[in-house]
Amino acid sequence: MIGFFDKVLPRPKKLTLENGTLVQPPRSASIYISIILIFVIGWFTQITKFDLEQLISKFFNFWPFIRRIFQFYTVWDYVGAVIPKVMETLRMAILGTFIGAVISLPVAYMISANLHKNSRFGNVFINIGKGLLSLLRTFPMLVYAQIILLLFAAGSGPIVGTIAVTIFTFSILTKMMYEYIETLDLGAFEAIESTGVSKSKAFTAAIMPEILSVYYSYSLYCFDINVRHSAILGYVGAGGIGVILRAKLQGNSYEEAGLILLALFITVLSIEAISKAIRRRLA
Amino acid sequence: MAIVFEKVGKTYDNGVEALKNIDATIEQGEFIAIIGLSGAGKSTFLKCINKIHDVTVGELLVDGINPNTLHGKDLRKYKRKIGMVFQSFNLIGKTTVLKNVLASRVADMPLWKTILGVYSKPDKIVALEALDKVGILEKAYTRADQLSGGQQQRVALARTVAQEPTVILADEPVASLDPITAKQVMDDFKRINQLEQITVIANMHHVDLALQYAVRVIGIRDGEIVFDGPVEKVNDDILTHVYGRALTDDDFIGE
Repeated sequence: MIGFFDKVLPRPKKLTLENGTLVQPPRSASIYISIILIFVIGWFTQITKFDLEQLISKFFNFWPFIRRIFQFYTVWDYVGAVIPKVMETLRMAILGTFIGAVISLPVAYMISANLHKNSRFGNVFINIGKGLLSLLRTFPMLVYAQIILLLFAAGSGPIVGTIAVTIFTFSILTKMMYEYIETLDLGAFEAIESTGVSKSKAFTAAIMPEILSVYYSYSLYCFDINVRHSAILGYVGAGGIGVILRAKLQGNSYEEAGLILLALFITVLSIEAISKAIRRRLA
Repeated sequence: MAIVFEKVGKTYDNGVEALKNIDATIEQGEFIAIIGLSGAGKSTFLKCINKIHDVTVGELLVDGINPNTLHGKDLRKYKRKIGMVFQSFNLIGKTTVLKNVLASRVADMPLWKTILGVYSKPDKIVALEALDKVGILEKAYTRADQLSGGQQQRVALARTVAQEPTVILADEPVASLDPITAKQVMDDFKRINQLEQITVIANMHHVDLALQYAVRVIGIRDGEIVFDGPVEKVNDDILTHVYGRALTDDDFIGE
């Protein structure tokens, strides 16, 4: 690529110093990259039919909708139906995060490369494990919910949601944990191993105390994400507050939808504040 | 537990011959200092005993068993009899001193107890007594990373004592400590050697410390034992021979 630039494009002008020395400034590709980028962006706006005029006119159509959303106080009684759904969402997120987190730690132990350095079989196993894990991470939680939904009878939404949250938590937390373990100094681990115990025991005795606070902290962070994500799971019918949110938006009951969004807003914000406070104490 | 080296040699995979023609017999309860330049093979000598490295030539017999023949469970059982103290202490920083010492007792525990960190009362008492032997019982519930270097090395020694080994191998145990702390830690080694009749084999960077604490000195030069005898017999000629040069200030801890 550089060779191509060297042939096609002119070099910048040489600078002459007072004593006659010539300095050749290196070629910068940024100007050409900018030109290419402008073309690419132009091409994509055509594909997506991005139209400024339309955007502005649609924006004003948007106003009545926004106004109705903010009139949630006119349907205040509806809150009695919203609270149980908020609780359902939280229960899905808590249970899913918990199960996912519990499974993730032993798996992270099994695929941390630095712990299994001198086993040749281990290396193959670790790479397969890490590959499967990235495969698991490529699909969003919503896709898992939709697939699992096919396996369950109608009305089992919350279970499906919990499983989707579990898979997501497991896939992301395992990666975070094994990457953290791989940065650790293994002195204590090797010292305990030298007392004649198996690797798994040396891990629980020497590594676990070292990583526990980070593990809790990452799990809480996952819980944060999960609360927000489980709100949307209802859109595919996997339980939680999303179920009624979709129903109200499609049923043209924007005031109720506004109330649901308010409840969601308060929940997410308070969960975030609580988890932040706990994580700060863990650090 | 007698440790017998018979014509032992060790060549690393990269071709470096770290040990050659080693003959030595170490009886139970001895206090041995191994001296020599860095790179002479002192560490390899120790690491062959607890099978971190495999002997490539000759035979090493520990209690009549060749550790090279051991695998899996038998190897782990063998390692439990051999304690190891490292230059860099290798403690678990984010947990208490007591938990660090207890970590050397997980071999007899079921895995679930290790995961939950529930240790039995007898184990706790063994650990606390080990801390008492090295004089830092009052730090039992302090976090390990809040201790000074000397205190950390004492915790590491207590951890090894709580393992109830018959031999303690110490790889430059005081090389990263200041002179006064180094002597305190060496005093602890000495006390444990005399009190429990545990064999202590220590690689020593500082000659004066080695001569002060050891009963027997082994000098290694270029992978070969060039001196092996009681500490009283060590003189300047022998030291010059072991080191292949006159000694400098660096070889002494001073004070």
